[in-house]
Amino acid sequence: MKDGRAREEWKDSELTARIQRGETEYLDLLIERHYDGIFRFCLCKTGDREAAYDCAQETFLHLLRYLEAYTEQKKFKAWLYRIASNVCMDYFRKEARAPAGEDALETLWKEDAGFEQIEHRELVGTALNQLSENQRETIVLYFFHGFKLREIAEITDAKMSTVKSRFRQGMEKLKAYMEKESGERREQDR
Amino acid sequence: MKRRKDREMERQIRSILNQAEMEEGDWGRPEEGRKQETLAFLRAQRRKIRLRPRKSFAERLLDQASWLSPGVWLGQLAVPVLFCLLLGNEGLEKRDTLLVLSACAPLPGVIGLIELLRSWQSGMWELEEACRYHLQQIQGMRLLVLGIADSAGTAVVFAAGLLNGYSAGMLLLFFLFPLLVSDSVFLLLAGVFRRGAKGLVPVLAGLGMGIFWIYQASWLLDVLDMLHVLESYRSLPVLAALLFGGLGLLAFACARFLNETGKEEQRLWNCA
Repeated sequence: MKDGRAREEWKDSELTARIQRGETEYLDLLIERHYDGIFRFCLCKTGDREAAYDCAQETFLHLLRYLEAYTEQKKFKAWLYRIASNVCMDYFRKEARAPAGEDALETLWKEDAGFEQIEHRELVGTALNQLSENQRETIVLYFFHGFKLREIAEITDAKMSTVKSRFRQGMEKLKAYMEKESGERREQDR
Repeated sequence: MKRRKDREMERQIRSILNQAEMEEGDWGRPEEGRKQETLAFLRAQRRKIRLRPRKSFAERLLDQASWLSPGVWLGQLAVPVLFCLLLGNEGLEKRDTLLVLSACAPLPGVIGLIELLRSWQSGMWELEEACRYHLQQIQGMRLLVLGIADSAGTAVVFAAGLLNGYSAGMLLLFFLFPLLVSDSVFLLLAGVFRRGAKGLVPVLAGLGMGIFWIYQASWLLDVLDMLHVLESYRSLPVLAALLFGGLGLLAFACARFLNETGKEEQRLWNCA
């Protein structure tokens, strides 16, 4: 590139523009860049590592299939996560399963953690389990994937006001849970 | 006090969640082997796809322009010429010229309406919906092309009018405003009739609008004549209100038309 930046530094929009001009080899870079995030998102949604591998792969296959339908007006990352969200919903439909249950997320959070991290993760995992599926998805996308509320509305196909209310209610629930937790800890310390 | 405590708690939650994000490291990370396997598979799949290079906006616009029927282009060319001849005709009184100008103002709109409605005739809707760009995008492009052609025609008519001694206010009152309102009405009608709008609908709509503008122009000319301001009418607030009102109405009609076009598939499959 003329400005001398490494390919890895190119923005998604620059890559998609090149891909749409026919330089499809840049798709590899785009897929590599987003694979971990999409995998983690699918893991949060399905609560199962094997299902997350399948859903992540399916998401990128959908990307290859429907890339022509992508328009620059949409943020690429939000569009990709929207595909992932739909793929996960399809997975639940096919498997006749419900989205990730109460304990699945908590177990995953604790999995592979070092001893010192377990307590912290347990707290976050249990706190997130206090939320409904929609509230959890909103909080996870906001804090763990760095999306803005407007983009979350796009990904989840919900109105902006609905996303705001899910976010606010989720934060309220987390606050109530943390207050209860800190109260209990103070009691135990005494 | 409570509010401060609430804020403090919220800050703590944000910090805990952000910290969890920072240290997530391993828990949500795919195994490297599995990841590479998937990436290799996706790379192989990617090699199989052939993307058609996307065209630029200007190229797409030119594409759509080339798909408009020759009749539309002839009409778009003939109407301003007709108006120019009318404005330059010294045998006609100004009053009569303005009346005819008003009555004919819907003509460009009728030509555009016929072209837009072609998309719903003889199974064309299904065909265009299955194209690379769906019908809403195609119609949006066509509206833009027709709008550019109309604007060029309007500029020519204005220039001819000014050269022949008509004030800009007169041309706005008796040509541009009727043109904008007629175009808006046609677009709203196209949104309502869609596939039901065949053959006579645009012609009847054009005739109806033409008759309406004759009456309206005749009344307006009488009023201006009575006030002795027919030649010198230059009330800027009124003219600006009419111009922006007309443009606003047209923008609303375009948005409504495109919105209705986008709903077509839903309507078809819901048998609405």
